[in-house]
Amino acid sequence: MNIAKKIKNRVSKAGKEAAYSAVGRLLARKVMGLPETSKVRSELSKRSLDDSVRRMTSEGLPKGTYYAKLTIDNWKPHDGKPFRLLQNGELVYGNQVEPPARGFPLEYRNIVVTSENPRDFKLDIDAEFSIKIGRGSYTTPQQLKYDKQYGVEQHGDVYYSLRGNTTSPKKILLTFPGFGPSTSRISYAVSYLKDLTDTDLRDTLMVCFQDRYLAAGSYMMVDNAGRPLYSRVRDIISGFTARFKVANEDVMFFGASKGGSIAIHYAQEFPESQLLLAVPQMSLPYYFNKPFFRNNLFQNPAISSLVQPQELLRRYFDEGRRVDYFYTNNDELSNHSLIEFAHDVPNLTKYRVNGVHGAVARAALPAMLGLMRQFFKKNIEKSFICEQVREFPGEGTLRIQARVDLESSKIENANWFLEGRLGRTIFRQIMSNGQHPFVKFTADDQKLFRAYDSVAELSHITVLEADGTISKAPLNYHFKALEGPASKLDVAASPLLLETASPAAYNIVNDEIFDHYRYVSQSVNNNGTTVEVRFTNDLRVSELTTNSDQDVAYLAVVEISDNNPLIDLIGLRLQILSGCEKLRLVDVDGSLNDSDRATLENTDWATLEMRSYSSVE
Amino acid sequence: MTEVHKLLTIVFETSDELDRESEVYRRLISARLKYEDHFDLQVTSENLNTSLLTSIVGGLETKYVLFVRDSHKIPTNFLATVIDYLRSRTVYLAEPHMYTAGIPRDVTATKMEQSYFYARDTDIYGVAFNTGRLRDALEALGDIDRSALYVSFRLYWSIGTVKPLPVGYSVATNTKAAIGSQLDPATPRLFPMVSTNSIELRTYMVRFLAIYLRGLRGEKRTAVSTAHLRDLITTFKLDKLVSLVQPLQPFEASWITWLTGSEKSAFLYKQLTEADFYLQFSDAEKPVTGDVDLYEIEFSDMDVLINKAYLSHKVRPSYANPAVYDFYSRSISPNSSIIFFDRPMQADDNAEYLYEYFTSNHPEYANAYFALNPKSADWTRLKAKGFNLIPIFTRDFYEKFLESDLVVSSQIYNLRYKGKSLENSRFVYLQHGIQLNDMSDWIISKYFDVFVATGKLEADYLAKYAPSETLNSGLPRLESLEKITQEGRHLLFMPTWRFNLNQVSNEHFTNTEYYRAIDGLMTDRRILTYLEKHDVTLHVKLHPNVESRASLFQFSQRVVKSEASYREAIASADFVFTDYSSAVLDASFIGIPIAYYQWDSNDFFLDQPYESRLDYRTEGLGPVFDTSDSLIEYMTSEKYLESSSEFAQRNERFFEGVDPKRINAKIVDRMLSL
Repeated sequence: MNIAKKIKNRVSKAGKEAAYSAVGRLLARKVMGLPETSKVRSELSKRSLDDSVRRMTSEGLPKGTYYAKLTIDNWKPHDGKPFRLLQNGELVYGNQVEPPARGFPLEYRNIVVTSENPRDFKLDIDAEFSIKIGRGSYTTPQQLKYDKQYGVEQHGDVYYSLRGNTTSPKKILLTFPGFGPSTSRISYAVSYLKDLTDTDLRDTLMVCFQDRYLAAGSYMMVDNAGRPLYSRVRDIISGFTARFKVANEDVMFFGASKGGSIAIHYAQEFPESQLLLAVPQMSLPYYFNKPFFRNNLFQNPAISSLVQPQELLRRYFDEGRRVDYFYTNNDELSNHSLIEFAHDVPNLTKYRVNGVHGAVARAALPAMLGLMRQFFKKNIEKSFICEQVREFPGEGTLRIQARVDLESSKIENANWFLEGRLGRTIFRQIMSNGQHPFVKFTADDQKLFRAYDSVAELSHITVLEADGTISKAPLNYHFKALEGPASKLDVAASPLLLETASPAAYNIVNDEIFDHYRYVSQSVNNNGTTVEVRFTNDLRVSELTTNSDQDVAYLAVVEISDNNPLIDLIGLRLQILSGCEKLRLVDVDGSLNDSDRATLENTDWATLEMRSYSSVE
Repeated sequence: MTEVHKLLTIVFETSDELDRESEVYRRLISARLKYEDHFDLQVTSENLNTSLLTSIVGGLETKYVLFVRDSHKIPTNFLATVIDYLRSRTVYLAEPHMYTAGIPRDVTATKMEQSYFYARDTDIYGVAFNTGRLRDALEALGDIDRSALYVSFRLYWSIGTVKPLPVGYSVATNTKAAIGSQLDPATPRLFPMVSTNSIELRTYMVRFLAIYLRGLRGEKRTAVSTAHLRDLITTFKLDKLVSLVQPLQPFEASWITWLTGSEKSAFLYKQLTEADFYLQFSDAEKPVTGDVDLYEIEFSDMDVLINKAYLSHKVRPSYANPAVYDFYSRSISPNSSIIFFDRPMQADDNAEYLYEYFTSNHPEYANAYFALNPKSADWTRLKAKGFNLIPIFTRDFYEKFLESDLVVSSQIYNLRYKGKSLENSRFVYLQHGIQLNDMSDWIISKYFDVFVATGKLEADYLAKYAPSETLNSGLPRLESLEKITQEGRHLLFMPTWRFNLNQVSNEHFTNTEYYRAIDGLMTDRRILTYLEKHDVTLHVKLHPNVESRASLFQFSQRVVKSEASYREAIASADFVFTDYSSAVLDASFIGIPIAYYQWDSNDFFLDQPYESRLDYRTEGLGPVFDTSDSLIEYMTSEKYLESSSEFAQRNERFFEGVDPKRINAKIVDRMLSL
């Protein structure tokens, strides 16, 4: 009996139980690993058994757990609204309704459930739906085509495609993917970077990992069963470095957004490697506390309990790793008060780009490709002339205009940066092109802020071309707008702490708004479920007191001023950090003004209680 | 028996008596060979206004009517193409591809896009109208000026687009765009308010509006109301098309924006070094004060004041915007690129002289360029002199312009490149000569940082419109101008041109007063005798526009055609006379006697796009003669050799303020301080 028949028999005769057993899975993976032109694959194809076998290859779930595919039929009236899928009244998945690709149903695939019975499931919105449940994971023809196009292969429970020099590379570039649109037919993408050519990758192996877990990816933190993936992926990476004898310093981790967080996660054991990051999330639970994630990834305890990217990145900063980090100030959800204020970190280069989170990677693509190509092959630095600099001071801000030599101004497929130093850190603010080619300037959303851009020395205009060429022109200009004591303000990227030994400072920036607080915090009751945040006018007189309710796990006292535009964020961040279910905000001495209260009350809190001081007494 | 009417009437408008040898006339009637049965030709020497046109159209029995003017140009197949098209169909109108200059060989390659529409002349000429429908339309449009009838006809019949016939028609001039046009004074409205979405018609309308406003600056009075103009602009959304007007008619572009009902009264016109130049528009009843009063225009419902104000740079909206580069923010230094040029095909004028002075006295400015067309005869000469030449109007030229900190020229071109223009960058205008005519409308419309004047009279005149820009230094070419002494005596006659003779046939040309006055003088027996007797030669320097007809003039042994440059011709003459040319002032500047022979002084300025500012009789630097007899008498009695204290005084007054030894130095000081 040939192998195709054997498979068929397994499916039809021995039943699904056997097909989805470990043996069945291994066999199926072996078959699907054969070339499409092979006899066995052709045979399967002829008999339309491809899909059945492919589903058998998927990651095995523990006994009693299944993959579900939810299809919502009349989604239109619910567009933009949140929904939850309940299994016998318990939340198993939730999201916010978004229109699917034109001509396709609204589907959410690979929700992990514990019942095979569709009748056990309900939606909390008044929409017709259907649910399919099975032992193998669900996919789409578009995803299959995509995987084929980009050569994505399955290796155990890990998926990736290989590019470039796969036989004797001297360097390794590891890429990790971001999210696609949540209703995409291709839920699992790879960061393939089509712009990179075979010539670019002549000496480099490029491994493009796919985050093929849960409905739209798990940040490659856990598999579908919620088991950490760390060791499995790390082993694959170290397998490559060992096999090709590539030193850590010749390894680059790249990722944008979700991919950036994954890159940080998997660089842990490669201390001399380089990191190229764009808008990574620093605290996953904090990022997940929004409608798209609150009822899916946010609920996954395994992800929250893992060491967070911010902690790892701070460790890398201490280690002096080479990090190139692209970010926007309009992204507090991802940044979490780290990169905005990071300074004097050796080997860190910060690239500030204007625009929203999703626009950064596209806007800075030439520079990022250039950094990759520099990693492949070191380029010589060129110089050009900045003929003229003008400063345009605003209230606490600075915009600049530079006139560069006409010939150099025509460099295309490049990003232009205003460069300065923050101690040992290099800071690069992306610039815009003016009406005339030789004019490069910082636009309104590219301006520098005197409060926290304590740029000791704006020294250069730097051009990063996609081909890896870097060109610099010295500015030779002393900026008056950044003079004065405020520019020396200590705006540390200090982490937010649940237990402070002494009053600590915490800075937050959200787009153009900068806010800073002093606070003290302490642990109160290990069994508590609440973070209590007390606001006061004067930290000195409002000493931290344990005079608190039994449910309080952590207590923080935050000193506020007359103007606290981001007052809502500090409480939220403390709650997420603590993992507590509840947040209690307390006005200790009548310090909250109307504006503070309005900000706090208009926030989309999960669970919030507001009290005045008297009720604490 | 039913009378069979012809298909088409050509109404041929002549400015004078019919010139049967003119090209356009011959080409029209040559169609009789094949199409005699199809068309009639009606000649009218009256100016076609709407009422005359209505009466002509009322009497026509042909299905179509087409208006042609004698100064326009048509190709040989024009009429045949039109008739062939009209024979087989009934249409509201048929029209050729319209041009303002030469007609391309393949007109169908002309792209029907906005730039074509905006450049197109939209008068009635060249278009075949359905006579009946024109008659109908005229019943409603009788108060519309003739020049707006074509567009109004299309509005009236809702003809949004027209596919032109595969033949061209040229009105052979584009001066309307530069100097504007004037409506019949009683015209109360420009167009009927028949709405349209046609971008083509709206483009025609905004162009017409700009040209009308330009003309109004000369006319100063109109029966149209500002309310009507505002209605037009808002109904047809003409304010959205104002960017078409901006490059060539920025004055009118600002005016249109103001008429739209803009709250703003001041419109940035030209950036300058110390303060920027703004145009300010206001209702005379609520005047906005400015530095220089320019116009008071009387509309039927409001008197509009237009003035010029020098306002602080800080008022400029882009002042604090780093996206906008201020070309004045970088001072001129030896690192600066500076571009000089005269006419593209001819140097030997003020820019050349200034360039030569500048590069030899300021060698530290290594990036001074002189732009010229490499095909110009001057290219080799200047190359040999070591000029740093760049081919004018090439990509390289524009790149240099973009980089440069200053442009210095005797010509004003509308330079625009990658966001840089003379509006937002430094420009020193040297002029070709001295302004004797009233060119104020033109001066006000142009962009310059420095306008070089020669003498107090001209400087005072210019300062009325451009007080901070006027520099009384004298023309650069005057500094090195010296009288050339040579054997034998030379007299020089330099007649200038008449704009209305551009299109006339040679036959007609030789019948003009212009030709007869010049040729008559050249062949006058008294003159010839005098020249012969005193061994004097009369050099005649024909205007470049007459060069092609030079053979029509009767030169002789004593009356020769001058082939020398103006400079050489003037410097080597012992006496120079002209009709109106300001070039003779160069002669006067170096002490050569001059005179004016103005045989047509009563009519001359009627046909020119400007008016005389100088009273030649009381301020001229030489005597004025109305008749050839008086001139001949003056010449043959050798009165020109006698010194005149009156003219010496006038000369001194005229050139007051010009230091002959510091002309270039004074200009250079000013230009480097911009």
